[in-house]
Amino acid sequence: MALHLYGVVSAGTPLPGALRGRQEAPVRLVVHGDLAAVVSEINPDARVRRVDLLAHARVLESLVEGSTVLPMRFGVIVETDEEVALTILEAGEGGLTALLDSFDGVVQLTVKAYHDQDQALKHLLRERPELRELRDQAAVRPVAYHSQLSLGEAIAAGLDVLANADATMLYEQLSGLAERIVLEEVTGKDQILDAALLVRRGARIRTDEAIARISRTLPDRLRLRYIGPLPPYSFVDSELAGEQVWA
Amino acid sequence: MTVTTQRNRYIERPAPSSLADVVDVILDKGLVIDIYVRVSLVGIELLTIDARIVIASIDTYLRFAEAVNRLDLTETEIQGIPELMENVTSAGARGKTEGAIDAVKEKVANVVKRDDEDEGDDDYEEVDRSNRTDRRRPQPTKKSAASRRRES
Repeated sequence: MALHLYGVVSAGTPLPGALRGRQEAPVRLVVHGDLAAVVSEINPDARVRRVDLLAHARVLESLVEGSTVLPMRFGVIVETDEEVALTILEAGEGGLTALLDSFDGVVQLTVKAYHDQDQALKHLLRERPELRELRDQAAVRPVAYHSQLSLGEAIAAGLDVLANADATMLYEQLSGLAERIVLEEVTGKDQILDAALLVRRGARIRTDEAIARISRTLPDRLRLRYIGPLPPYSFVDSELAGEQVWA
Repeated sequence: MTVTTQRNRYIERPAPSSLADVVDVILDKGLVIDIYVRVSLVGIELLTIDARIVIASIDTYLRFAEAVNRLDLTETEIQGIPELMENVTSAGARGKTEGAIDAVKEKVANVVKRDDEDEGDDDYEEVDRSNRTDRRRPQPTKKSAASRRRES
């Protein structure tokens, strides 16, 4: 057996009752000084599956509802409690304590924005007469492969411009809501924005209201997904990029 | 349009992350450990391999062309072309376009197959394909890749 690490919290952090992690094992704390690692026992030889990824995320999400959590990247496996205490909590004490302090009282809320492709295309054709013209030309030419191609190219470029403009518009509205905001690279289909907002716990209801207000006023071509509360995934990452915690 | 964003509510509650969101964050964000700790990454390489496959932009362009040709702009459009003419030519163009896209798809399916020599775990493939698709470079649907595999 071995221990899967979910994250690091302050020593006194209460665990939600009956919290289960990977492979349905109960989640517990390994306490060392003022810090504690959130762990559960796993069979390290078992294959990693989708449920394991979700279990890791769910444990962190249920903790972050009430406590400050530093998330571990998925896949950190340690042999024993002693090893967790010494090589992680003791060796990293200074950095971990500083990080826990800096994220005290805040959570990450993620906003992802997507284009509805048909609506975005309609908008393009309405706003840009030259694209409409190109489409009509492509339609009358006798099965012209090249005119289809250049039409598609112009449309793709137009969609990119529209996506950037919409993302900028959203970013401006969102950045007023957060202590800090980080833009992640967009990866999904039709996704135009992936923004991580660092928000004070006390400001969550206000943020919820603001997000609801923003999504009500969006044009048809845009839809939002609002995810959280999450541990500060996007912000821990940039903390580490700037400075080696375990130097 | 999704129900959650369009419902007339004053407060929007954030939702838990989906598998797609999870893959985006927990595999490349979060604290990492220094070299003294044994880090088990069994299977993780498979998950983090960027499954995006570079398809010639041609495929994307043809899809967009097809999409705008299909589009009904009746609310605003000024009808410039005789209806009949439009129908006839776009039907012809569609035949050709689909042929071209199919050819690209076939090529992609072959690439996918080669990259997925280790076919033991469908979980990894599904995680990759459903979440790492590039907006500008659509991939063949899971179904088509799977059925192609069965054929061979």
